[in-house]
Amino acid sequence: MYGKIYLLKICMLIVVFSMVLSACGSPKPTATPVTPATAVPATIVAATAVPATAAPKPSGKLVIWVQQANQDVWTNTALPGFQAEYPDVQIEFVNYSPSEVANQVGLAIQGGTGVPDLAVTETRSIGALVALSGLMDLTSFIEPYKADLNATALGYCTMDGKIYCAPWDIGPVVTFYRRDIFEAAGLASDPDSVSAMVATYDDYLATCKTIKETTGLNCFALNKANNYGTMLENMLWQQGLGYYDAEGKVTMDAPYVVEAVKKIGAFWEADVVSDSLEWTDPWYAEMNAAIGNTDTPPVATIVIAAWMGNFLKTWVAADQTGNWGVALMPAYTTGGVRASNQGGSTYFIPAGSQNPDAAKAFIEYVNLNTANQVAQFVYSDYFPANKATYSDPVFQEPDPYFGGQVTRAFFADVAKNIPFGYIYGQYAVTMSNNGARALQNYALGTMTAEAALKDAADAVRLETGMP
Amino acid sequence: MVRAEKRKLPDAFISPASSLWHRIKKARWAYTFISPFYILFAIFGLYPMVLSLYLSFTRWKGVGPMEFAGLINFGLILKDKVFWQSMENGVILFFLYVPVMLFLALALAVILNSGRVKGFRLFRTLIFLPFITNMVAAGFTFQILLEKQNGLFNVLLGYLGLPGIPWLENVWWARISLSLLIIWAWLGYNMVIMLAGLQTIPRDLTEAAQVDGASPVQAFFNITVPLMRPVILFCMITSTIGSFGLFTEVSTLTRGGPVNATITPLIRIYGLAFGSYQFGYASAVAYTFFILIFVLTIIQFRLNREQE
Repeated sequence: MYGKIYLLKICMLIVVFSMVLSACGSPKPTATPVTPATAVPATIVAATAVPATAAPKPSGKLVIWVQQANQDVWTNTALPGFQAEYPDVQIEFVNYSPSEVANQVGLAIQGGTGVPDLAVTETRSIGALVALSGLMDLTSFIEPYKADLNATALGYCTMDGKIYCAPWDIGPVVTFYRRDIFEAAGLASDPDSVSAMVATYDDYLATCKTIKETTGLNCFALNKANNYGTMLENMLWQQGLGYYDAEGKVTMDAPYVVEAVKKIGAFWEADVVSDSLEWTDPWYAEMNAAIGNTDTPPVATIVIAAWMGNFLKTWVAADQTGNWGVALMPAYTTGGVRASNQGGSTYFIPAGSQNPDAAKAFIEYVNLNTANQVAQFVYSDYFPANKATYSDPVFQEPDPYFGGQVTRAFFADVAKNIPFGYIYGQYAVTMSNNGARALQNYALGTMTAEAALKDAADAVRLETGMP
Repeated sequence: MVRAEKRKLPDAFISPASSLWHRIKKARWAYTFISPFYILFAIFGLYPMVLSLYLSFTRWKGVGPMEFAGLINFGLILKDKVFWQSMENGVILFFLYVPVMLFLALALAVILNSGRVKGFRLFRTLIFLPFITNMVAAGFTFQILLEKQNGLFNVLLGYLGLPGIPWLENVWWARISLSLLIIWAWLGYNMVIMLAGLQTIPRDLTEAAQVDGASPVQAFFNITVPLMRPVILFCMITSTIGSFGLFTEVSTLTRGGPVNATITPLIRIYGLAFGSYQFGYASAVAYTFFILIFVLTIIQFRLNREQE
């Protein structure tokens, strides 16, 4: 009798325990929209740079958390070669949206279980993960490649002198411009002339006014109510400044940020910008519209990172082949730096990775191998953080979409000048959201620039505990 | 008599506990079978709540040691303009959509319950359908419909010769846009609850009133509404909590903007915990929010009782 009851109790305990376990299961990965890939055929490059080592080749399962678009780039370039080189490594991809990779890894680190073996996230998000102290120290692994990697991107991987991630791509900021609109405005349309016309933000404003007066067209999109603060971040980054400083103090209400906000305000005051919001249909339509389109008048320029070139040619402005050109971004002051960064992504290995050897082999083969990195760049236009790639002949090829301009070499020259900006880091998302809100308040006239930035800075101080 | 009572006292004192234990023992299998819920609730409900209470007195980023902070987090809340803005937004949203939604829900329920509507089940299903529609999909669809330049709403206004409305670009219009989405999504849910409530009201009362010469409108306001008060109160309390607890609707349609005009306490708490990894402060905000909602609910109950 007691034996039966005991057995029954054990059975029930197993049922209850299994229910608890099933409830503990990790959430299903979400599918993410695929960023259209370029039409350039994939170049699959065989392994060449795997360092000679006596250790056996890694094997076993390699779980990689990555956004779908990045996985597609690998699948069409370096992945087949990696699988041939490391046949005993079984890769399991889990897809999350770009920002969600970092969120999910962060939760797994905090939960103390369920981290992937390898992951790729936006550079914007890496600072928060590094600060969680849950990433593997890659200092000695990266050391041989350190000189080749973009110092700014590497800076976000570094804490207390140790390197925790391996940058993949960066976003050198340039001015994309419409040659046909500049010509319609009676202006020169070659890259050098346009670079001179937008030498500073004041020059940029003057050029915008000319375009507006002669063609009636807006210079670029600068939404007021929901502005993301991208232009403000560019202005700060190119000066080597940001929302905080090297001492870790919040500087969002510093006089130089107030001045930058007012500089942006001059474009609204001059009425030379449209009110379309970034990454919405009207914003795309303005870049693809022809001159004379009265429903959606085109814009003449956009100051944004190099990766936008791929979006323009493949889906945002596919109808405008030959009309877009690339010039330098404006300097903040005369003679100042004409380079900034927007976006980018980076590889990292969580400290709890079950297969760090395979993860390192993957990074080494797919990311740090120059030839494979070039193949990915040609396929995706993700501008490499690996400077060793810049001497590859593909960088000198003209781009028919940009009227035959040699854009890759142009981007490479810009990339070399990007200073370290205090925009990304541990609290990048909080700072960016509050910076954007300050700009929105200023744009809508609900607050002065000084008051809006003070309000935002106080919010950041309260939320982060930073002084 | 006295002696008898004295003799019974010890029994009376002991018996409730022993009788409770006896009853539990007697129904042990019933308790065993319902135990999975309580075990899961203890792990995924009670434990996080207790931990969160503890966390609200600490500084903790999700890993590493928890640093005891006393009441510092609660002190910070007083200076947290974004949190108070989110509470204010909750109040504004409540007044923007709850009266309209509950009135429409009751009116639709009365119409459907009148027995004069052909295809009652079809209409009930159609009105309820938005509630089971995925909110992320609905939010993005509303975003497209409300788009300033080419959105369907403004295109239709253009056909009528009216100027376009900055639905998502203006502080008040953004709140109204959010209210429209909420009404669209939650009207059916509230209507079904009202419908269930209406079916408990005997038809004789309304019919008797009409025989006595009351118009349908008079019968509605003097008979239906008073008898429906407990149901309306239930809908109002859940809607009040809902106003402050909006998350998916805001995330997909307005992302809290413009200038935090549609940010809600739940969005704020999520951002603090999973955006800035300030679990201690986020927990303090969550408990403050809980206390405020608790007080608000009690006030609603009291007001209703006084009216009764």
